[in-house]
Amino acid sequence: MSVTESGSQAPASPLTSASEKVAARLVRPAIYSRHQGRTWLAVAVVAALVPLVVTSGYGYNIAINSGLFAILSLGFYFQFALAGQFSFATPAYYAVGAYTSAWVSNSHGFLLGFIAAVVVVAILGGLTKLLLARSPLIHFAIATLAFSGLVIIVLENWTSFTGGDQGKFGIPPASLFGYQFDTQTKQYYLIAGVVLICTALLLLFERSPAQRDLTFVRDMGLVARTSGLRANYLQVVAFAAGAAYMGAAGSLLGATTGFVDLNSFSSAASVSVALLVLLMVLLGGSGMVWGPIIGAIVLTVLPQVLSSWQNYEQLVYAIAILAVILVLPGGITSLPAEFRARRAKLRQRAQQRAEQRAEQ
Amino acid sequence: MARFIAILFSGIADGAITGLIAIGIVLLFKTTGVVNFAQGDLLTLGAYFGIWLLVDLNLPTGLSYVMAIILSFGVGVVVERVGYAPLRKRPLLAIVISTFALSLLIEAVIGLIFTNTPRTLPPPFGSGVWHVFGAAIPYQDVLIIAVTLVVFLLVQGMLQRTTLGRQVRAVSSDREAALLQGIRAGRLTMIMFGLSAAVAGLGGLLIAPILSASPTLGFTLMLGSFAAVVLGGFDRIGGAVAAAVVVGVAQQLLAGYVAPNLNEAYPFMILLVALIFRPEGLVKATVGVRY
Repeated sequence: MSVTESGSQAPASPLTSASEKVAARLVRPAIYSRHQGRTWLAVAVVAALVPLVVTSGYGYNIAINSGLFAILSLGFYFQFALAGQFSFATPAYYAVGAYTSAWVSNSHGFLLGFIAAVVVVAILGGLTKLLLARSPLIHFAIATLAFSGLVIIVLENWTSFTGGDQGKFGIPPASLFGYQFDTQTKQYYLIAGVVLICTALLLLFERSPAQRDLTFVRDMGLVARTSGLRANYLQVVAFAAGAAYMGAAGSLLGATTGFVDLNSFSSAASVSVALLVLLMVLLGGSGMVWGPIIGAIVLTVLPQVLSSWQNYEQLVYAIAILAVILVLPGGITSLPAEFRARRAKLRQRAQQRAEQRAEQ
Repeated sequence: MARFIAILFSGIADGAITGLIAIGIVLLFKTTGVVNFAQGDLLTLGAYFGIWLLVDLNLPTGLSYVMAIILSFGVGVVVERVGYAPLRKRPLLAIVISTFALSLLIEAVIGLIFTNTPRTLPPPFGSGVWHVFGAAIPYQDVLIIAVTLVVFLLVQGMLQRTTLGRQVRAVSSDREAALLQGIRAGRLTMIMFGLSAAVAGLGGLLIAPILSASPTLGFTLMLGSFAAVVLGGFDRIGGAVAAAVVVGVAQQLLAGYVAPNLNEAYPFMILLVALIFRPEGLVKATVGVRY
């Protein structure tokens, strides 16, 4: 059987049915994909070589933007794929991270601002999950929708904190131990570095026992509880970690553009940020760490190429989400595995036919 | 006093509209165990169907209302075919996301066809008011309350007294057993999707004369009805409608007496408070399982 010999089978995504997943587990008990370290190194090399190709400021903008969305999507992946929680609160965490970092880094420097954003948003995320711990899946999704709307309304009305319509200006560019990230190339390297660190942390987490516990809780909540796992604790921590990623993305947004304005999170844009991140994770594939990153890059670059999309943006996103859910629930990263499975099936069928012919 | 009565009445009318969305949500939850995120946008769609037929095509009022409701029913069936039927055996999350995507799709299509400029529907009984204890109560508010009451009684009667309703209750309590009894659960789901869309569409026709219709009209209203459904119970139509009225009145009272400028935040707050403190509803009930 090709499924057992090939190193990576179709990854367990929260969107494929439980029976499929159980079947997959019966074939091969390993839950994480092995040899991710090499892939990580390869990705790091590619990321380091990007400035050879990208030379214009426009190109750097796209690269930096896809990096920011990659961090957001990784955070969403943490919450959605690993913890199994569907949340609409991405823009809220992103915005709170951006403003917290803007205020703290103005007085205490970038590093403290970044840490403050991560910590504050992690606490906020943990609190959201903790307070809503008794809500089942759908209720939780609805509640985060309300939470996100509420946070955006608070920010819209708290003009002394957010700078109102003009936004908050004069955020110092990122600097680490005296080293200024003042050019776009340096900023690109900073963001790429953070994306790689975030990915590495996720990869380490995915092969830790905690991840197995979390998957257990995600797929069989009650059984996991009965066997002594602290289901709520695990999910709160995982959700908070995902939120922390989003806070980091918010902090980097301010540190690269120099200002944060409410338009990027406002009520109209808020659904679209949540939606965009969801689509990135779904399109890239929610079964593997690389999925959200691929999704983020594809969906940041594509709209630039197809600028005639503008009017039909929402329509295209809605149809894309539906199409991915219906046709390719594993996303782009599941394509090789799907392809391999299909080829194995074809080969099997050919073999059967040959045997039948031999019998005749 | 006059002000209080006016606020009370507009609260009940608001609650009645959220109640209509809630009826659809509960009907679907009972038959399928999923929550349809597109319910609010089906309401918007109903409003725009009305505007299209009545204002743009100049059809008579009664005819265009009936046609708008029939069209909404059709859209509901399409939503079931596209967003639910192919995913029935997949995890809940996949269905939640697909109905959410459908809600965005409907919103985007409305935005493309009718643009984002708000439109209104002329009220069927004019814009006159009734004077009760000095408070002016628009005819439309009374109409909304009356229609919601009738729809609620009809749906309740349908569930309790007709064969269709008995089949719904059978599927809701045990889908497998219902199938073995020869009930066509698939067709039933389709009808229920259509029916809840029709009820939402009716809500849209009723609310469009008061609040002008914009593509996001229904999505905002839906948050209030989620709060109502959580408080009233996901499987009780009566509870959900009662809770919807309570939520509507509470919202209007808060806006009228506490802080009017936070009007848009109240549905969010009520919903969050409800989910944090009483996620199992005000009156405890057994939680429905998905079949």
